[in-house]
Amino acid sequence: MRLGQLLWRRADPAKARHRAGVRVLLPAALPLAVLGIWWLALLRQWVRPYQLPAPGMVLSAFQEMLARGELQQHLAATSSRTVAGYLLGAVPAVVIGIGAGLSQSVRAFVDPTIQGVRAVPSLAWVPLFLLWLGIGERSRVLLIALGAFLPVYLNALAGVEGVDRRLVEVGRAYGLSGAAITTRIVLPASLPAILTGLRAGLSLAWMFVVAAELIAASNGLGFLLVDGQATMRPDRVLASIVAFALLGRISDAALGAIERRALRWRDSLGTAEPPDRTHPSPLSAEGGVTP
Amino acid sequence: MSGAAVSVQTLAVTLSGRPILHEISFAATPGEVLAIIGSSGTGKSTLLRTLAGLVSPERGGVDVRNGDERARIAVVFQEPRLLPWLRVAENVAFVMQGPRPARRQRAQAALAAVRLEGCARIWPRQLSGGMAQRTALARALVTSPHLLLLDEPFASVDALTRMELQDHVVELWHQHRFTVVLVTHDIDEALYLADRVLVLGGHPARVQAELDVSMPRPRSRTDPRLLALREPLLHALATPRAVSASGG
Repeated sequence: MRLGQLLWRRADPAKARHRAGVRVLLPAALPLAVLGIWWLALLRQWVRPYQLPAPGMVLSAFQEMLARGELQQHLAATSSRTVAGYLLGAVPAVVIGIGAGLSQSVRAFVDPTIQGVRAVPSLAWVPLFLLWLGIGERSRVLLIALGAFLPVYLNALAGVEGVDRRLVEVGRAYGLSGAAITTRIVLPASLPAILTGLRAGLSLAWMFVVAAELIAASNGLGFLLVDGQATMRPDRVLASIVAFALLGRISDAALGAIERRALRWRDSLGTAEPPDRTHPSPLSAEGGVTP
Repeated sequence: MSGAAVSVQTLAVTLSGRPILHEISFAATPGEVLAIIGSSGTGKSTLLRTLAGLVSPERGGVDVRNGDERARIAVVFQEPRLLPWLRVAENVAFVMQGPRPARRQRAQAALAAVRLEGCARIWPRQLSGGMAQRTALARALVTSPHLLLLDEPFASVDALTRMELQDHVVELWHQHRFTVVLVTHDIDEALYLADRVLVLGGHPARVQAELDVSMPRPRSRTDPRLLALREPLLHALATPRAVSASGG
């Protein structure tokens, strides 16, 4: 249920049908308007086709690259280095973030340094990575890892720090060991924040793979962007941008689905279902006992 | 199941440099229901948390024994404190050890004992306040405790649900005969449930008064003998001094 529904909900079936139609059409309205303006701009010659090709040309560039297997190759290169960099950044970030949240000593040891690194814009490290590791896969993956690390670490730390102490007390009152309290209370309780961090880290990983491929790469979608610019092919540039958008959207939707599945217990505006829909009647199930 | 013997000796607790409890001594016999009352902020909950092992005493000690063994202790807090990511039955099974099928079976039995057998598969957020607190009670029962610590467990539910839950505790006590230490600010609740009432007061808190409620159960809330005991208790709360009275 959305906040707006909660605030201005009205029980009117006719309006509900009307709203359903609007819900389907509304998301398509803005892209269609952009396409319309795009056509109009070309038709009226506000822009030249070498600056902005027609949507049909972008589509055919896309199809042509697909047919030649070119696009698949670049997609594979970009995806594999994004996944590698993301895992290299996000996995240690979760572990270190949780460690820093659990232990004051770990936090005192790592947090000031990480906050220091955070103050530096990540792209500022590029020259250093290139100097140390050369123009190659390692420097690209490392840059992506750095980009993904920070949001995941910060969210994991905030998640563990924000765990309701009263729940931890339940574990202590019932004699659970420290390890059991960590794995069975602290980690599940901080999962929402960790998943938020993982999603933020993923979108930064996509951002950094573009940067890495723009600077130094001979394949990948970022390379395709630079190549399209160098060869005056805006249709290929736009086709690469569309491919990036698809990759980003698909990967985020996959993480989002995992998040919804893992957090289906939550009673928040984004995930909540009214009790009457999720469970026919918890009250009748217990034989009409006054709740 | 049998009750634990509780012995508290010259207990002193200091929190953040502030003395909260001073020279507290009392004992509870196996199967006794002991209520501790006092006004807000007296340190009742701190005393209960010390019994639960959640707060370390500065001096003195707490001994909870079941015969020669250490007793099993269960706590029901003021809020249900259910883990929101576990379904109701999993919340109950959470505090148990052993193989999963056995835990599930015992959790089901405990839920049935609090009349929530139909709610095993739903999420805590789908429970009403009273149902959530009953789940917390089931979670406490499933460990077969020798000592049940109740920290104002019915303070956050409406009056009708509170009475129902109180009757429920009496019913469960009849079945299991565990020792109960109940912290409450509700005089009527203390008199209805307890064999003995301790009045905590002062800063730092001491045991100011003690009242015997030696009346058989089930009790009636409108029993004149029970109502007559309100007077000395109110008096003890208002002007702390040693009171020793008994009903029945």
